[in-house]
Amino acid sequence: MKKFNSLKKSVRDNIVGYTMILPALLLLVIIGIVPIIITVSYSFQYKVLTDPLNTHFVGLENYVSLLSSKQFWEALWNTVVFAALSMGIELVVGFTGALLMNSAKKFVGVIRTAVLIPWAIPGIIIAYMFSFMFNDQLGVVNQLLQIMHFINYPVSWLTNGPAAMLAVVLADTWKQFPYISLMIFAGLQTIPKDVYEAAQIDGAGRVATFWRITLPNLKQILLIVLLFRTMGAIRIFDIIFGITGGGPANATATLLFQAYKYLFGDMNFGLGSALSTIITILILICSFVYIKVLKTDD
Amino acid sequence: MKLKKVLSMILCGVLALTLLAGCGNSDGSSSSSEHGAAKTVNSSKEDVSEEHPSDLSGEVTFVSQNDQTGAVDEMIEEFNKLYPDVTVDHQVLPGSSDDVKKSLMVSLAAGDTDPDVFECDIIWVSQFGAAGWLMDLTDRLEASAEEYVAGPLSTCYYNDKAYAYPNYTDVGLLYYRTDLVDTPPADWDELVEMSKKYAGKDSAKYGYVFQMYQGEPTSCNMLEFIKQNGGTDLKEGAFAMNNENTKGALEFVRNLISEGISPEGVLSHKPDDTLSIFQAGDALFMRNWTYAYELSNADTSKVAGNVGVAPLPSGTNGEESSGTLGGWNYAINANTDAPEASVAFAEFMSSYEAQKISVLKRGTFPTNAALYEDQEVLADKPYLADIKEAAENAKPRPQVRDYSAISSIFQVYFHKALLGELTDDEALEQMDKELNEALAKQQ
Repeated sequence: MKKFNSLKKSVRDNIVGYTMILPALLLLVIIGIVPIIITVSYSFQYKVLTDPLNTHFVGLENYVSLLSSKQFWEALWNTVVFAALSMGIELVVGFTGALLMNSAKKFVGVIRTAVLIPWAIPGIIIAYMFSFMFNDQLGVVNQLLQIMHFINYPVSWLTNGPAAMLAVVLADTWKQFPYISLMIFAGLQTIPKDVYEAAQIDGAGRVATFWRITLPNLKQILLIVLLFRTMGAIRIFDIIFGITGGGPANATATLLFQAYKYLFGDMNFGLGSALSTIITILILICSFVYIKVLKTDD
Repeated sequence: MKLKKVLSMILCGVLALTLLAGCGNSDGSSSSSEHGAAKTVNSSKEDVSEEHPSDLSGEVTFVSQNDQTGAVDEMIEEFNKLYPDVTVDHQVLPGSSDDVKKSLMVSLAAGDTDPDVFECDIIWVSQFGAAGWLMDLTDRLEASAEEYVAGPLSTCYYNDKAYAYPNYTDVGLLYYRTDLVDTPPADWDELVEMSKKYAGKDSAKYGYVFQMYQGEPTSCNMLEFIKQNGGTDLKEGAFAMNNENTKGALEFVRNLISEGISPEGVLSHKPDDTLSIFQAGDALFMRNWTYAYELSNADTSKVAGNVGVAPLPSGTNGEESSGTLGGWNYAINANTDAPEASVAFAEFMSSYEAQKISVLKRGTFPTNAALYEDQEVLADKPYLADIKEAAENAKPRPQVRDYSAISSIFQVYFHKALLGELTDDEALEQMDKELNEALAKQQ
């Protein structure tokens, strides 16, 4: 104790400070960093759980076999299509929801709660709900369209590649738009009222106000929303698993779904880990691009 | 504000309680089963009867699929009459076979001692056995091998070692509407002819429904069509499926869809979807597993009492009916902490008495040969006699170490060919190539 007290005050503060954050840091390392290192190390091994005695180092073989397989490029393409479609639609719907929440004068609480409901339902439940809705024989979607005479025969949504993709995108939109609405709504609340008043006095119309004031002020929030949704879209799994199982003919098999099949279908932890590592790198690249491109000047 | 605080505190409390409950549960079961293992000293193969119950003790965690008929619980009750000191903790895993498999694999791969005994799909035996997750039961099963039907018995083996006891067997069957059709079709031509005669009218919207969801349904159904048409899958250590028989089968399925005999949606259907269509009276013929019989005749079904069952029809190039062999076994976790009690339990569940309960109550197909001649069973389930032929001709899926990797390849290429994304030649050529590569990795 004497020794400790004799140290310089700044050093003493540092030691105390590090000791304080040590538990949190340890936790982060154990549950965050260590699993990532283990996954990366698996990706350089032949590691099949059903062939446990044969585990050995294979270098880049897993990556080579992935990159040379058609399934990988198919899954990558599906993931890109899914991400682009779902983010586009979700952003529009989410923004509309936010504007609605922001301009509501009556029933504010009811509207906010109603918008949040889909977000509170677990993804896998939403997936099964949508798989029932889009079922060709028993689904409500076909029934409604038939009642309204848009179609004469039941459409088989999930056996047609583009239609199946649309079904999973819609399910994902329904689940995720509340999150976007909420984030944007929070951003809208931070924009000072007097800016709008000034614009009104200067004679700016609604459209000009939106493009010149609302959107620029939301740039930071939109960046965060886009970043999170990109990550979410690349990691999409539950919706695909519950609605199409990757079908028809792998038309909705995304990267993570493919990784899941390697990991838990074939028990091939080497190949699955390699694909997971690639997914992580993809997400890192996307985040990096977003932050660079949308970086604010200040 | 105060209300919110109270609410959040209640929520936190509930959360903490569920966590505690979760921990408490596993603690409890592990300690009591250790206790049981210490006590199990009695060797098995003793003669037990209700008058002379065994004093073997222990706790067995048993995982089964969903069973709404109560048959499994009754079987466990009977077991407890013979082994009053063995506690059976019966847990149910819902969902499809694939879902159940994934839940089980998490425990098995981690080397958990629970579950001790579980219902094991016949296609898992080779994979789980090769991984060393299942108890070797070769000596015990050899002793009673002659009691079982040969086909299902063979599914308990991998590399000449037995890893499971037979439970019930399953096979793809043709269900038909007895109010519309007198004799079931024997081949594809008759099926198409009858479907055209009836389908599309009020009586039945569709002719023939089956399951081709991208997953195990596609593999099972498509392999069936191929083998009906004289084709094969794994033969003499290699896949050579790019031939006229396979192409004929793909063509037949495409025609069924394009002629409106089958709905386009069959490519997204699972067995339950198919069953719903049939129950609603919308289909003349249905391909389904044996479980559909009882449910088609249930009170909720519009076609109850008008359901016949027969072997699947044979194809243009083929000579015999062929259904995919399915079914379930009882396997024992290699790391079980109550080996004696687990073996006694699995052995009982596979026995004549237990299987009889299962047959009568949930309509499963027995694997115990004597039950096919049991008068009580035949009086209650006369259809068992009709489909014995189908059960005997059932064809197993490729019996390789890692079947699921093989099945994923089947699913993708069958779908691509059926949807016309690839021509049959392209699809089958690539499929053969990938199948043989995957097979080579497993050697």
